Amino acid sequence: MKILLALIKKEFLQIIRDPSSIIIAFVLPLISILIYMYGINLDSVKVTMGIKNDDNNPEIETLVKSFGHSKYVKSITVDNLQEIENRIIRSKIKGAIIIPNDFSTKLSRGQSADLLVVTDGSEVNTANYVQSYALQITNGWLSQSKYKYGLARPIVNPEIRFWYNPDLNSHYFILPGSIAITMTLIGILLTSLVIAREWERGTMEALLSTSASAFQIVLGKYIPYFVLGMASLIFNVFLCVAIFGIPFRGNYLVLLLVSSLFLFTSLGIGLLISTKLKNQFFASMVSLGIGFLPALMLSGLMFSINSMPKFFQYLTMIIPPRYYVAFIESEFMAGTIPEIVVANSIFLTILGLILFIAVYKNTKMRLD
Amino acid sequence: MLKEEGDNVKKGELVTVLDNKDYKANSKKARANLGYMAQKFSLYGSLTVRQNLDFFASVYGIKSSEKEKRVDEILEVFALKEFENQKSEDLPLGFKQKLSMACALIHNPPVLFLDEPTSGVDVLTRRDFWNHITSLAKKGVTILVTTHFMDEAEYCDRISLFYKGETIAVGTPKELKAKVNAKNMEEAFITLINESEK
Repeated sequence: MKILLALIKKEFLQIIRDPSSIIIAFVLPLISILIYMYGINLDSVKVTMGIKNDDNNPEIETLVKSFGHSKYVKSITVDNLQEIENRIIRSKIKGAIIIPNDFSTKLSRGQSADLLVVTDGSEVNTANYVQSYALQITNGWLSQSKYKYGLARPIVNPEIRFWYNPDLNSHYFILPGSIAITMTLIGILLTSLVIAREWERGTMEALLSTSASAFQIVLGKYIPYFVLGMASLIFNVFLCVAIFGIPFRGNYLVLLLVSSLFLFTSLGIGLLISTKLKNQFFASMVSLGIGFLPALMLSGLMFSINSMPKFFQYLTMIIPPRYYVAFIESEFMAGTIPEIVVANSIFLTILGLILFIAVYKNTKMRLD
Repeated sequence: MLKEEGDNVKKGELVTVLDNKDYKANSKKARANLGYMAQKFSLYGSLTVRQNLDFFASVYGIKSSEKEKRVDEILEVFALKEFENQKSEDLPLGFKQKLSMACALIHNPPVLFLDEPTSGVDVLTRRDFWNHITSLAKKGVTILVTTHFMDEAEYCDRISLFYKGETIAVGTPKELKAKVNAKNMEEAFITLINESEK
């Protein structure tokens, strides 16, 4: 116990003296939250569209105007197809609407009228926006115009509600999700460097000749970085909730408890890396590869796990951030849901314990 | 150097000979009886001299009540008192080596391993080191030193001459010199190696 305390005290002294771990724990999350807040936006943005109107009926002119009035669209009138193509190639417009010359004639006869919507398929997300905006604006116009009397009344009239995030503000889930990524990075990066550093500087050699056991050495690493990681988590949550005004509907105690389980797994991955690679440079490269990238790509934060190929869906089962992202998004947006908390906690505990045992078994008490 | 030689010794063989106790079963206890000073500077550079001694005192299992006294004592013995609050990475090499030895000795081990303690330090510090080593030996501490300097070897009670990973001669300095009719250890060393080559 006394030996463990000495190891912990020594580690804290090193943390205080060495600015790099403080930077990883506090400056890195700050930068990443700023990037996620201001750099990444998955919301609908104002798209520029070209409109080519071949129908000179004055009534149709009001349709062109409604495109101009939409808050989601900036419309530009174009005269020929060549111009549309040129502008799409140069990304000046994201898509175009072409109103054929028989549009009003067909509408007044009560027939279905064609409207051509051209989108830029090389940017799939934006193309989807162009398509749905064009449809919405046209339908909106139609229900207001004089042609509305010729329309059959729709049988089903869907009323749409967006639960948990009525404004559809993507920051509300990206920022909490980014906590999962920074926590992975902090946990893995901080710890992957420290044991590797002890080997590199020869201090492990000195440590092995003392009465400290492998178990004490491992715990002496887990505990200080756990404390540092939790401090960083609190800082992250504070930034999200107090500074950026992300709504938090869950329970802070539950958040801290599940986060500590998650941190436990991250620290385990980091320590495992550094017991295997006794070199700080390799250890940090590998941490990015097996820690940061899967957390970003496979955690379900950026890409929905359900839409991944089967192989990757199974792969995400062993990635701790997957469980944490699922938890933290629902904790922030929907509040504490016992099923989600319990299920994810169980998986995190199992992964954390497996990693702890692996770290312990791999902490060699011999020089080789 | 010690590390490589250690590989030639079967695991456990070395520690079991100490003090006639069976240390194989209790390697932690065995380690409490050993002091080890690595060839490379292997203390915590960002910690001060005192914090390093404090830390090693704790991990070697010294009681908290005796710790401060012991640290003060060893600071005194190695004349490190005036540097106690300096970061150990900022110390000159000779002082780093002294601190390493001080850390290895903090728990008064009956057996001490010094892995090339004097490589790279100046002549005065080297003499200082050997004063410490001989005075410890007089107190009954068993000391195992590896060295490249043959004049240093002369101070030892028993020498084991290693060449290409094998012991080629064992004995007191006098015996070894007499064996090949050499004036000093250096000459004895060269002759012994040449003989083993044949």
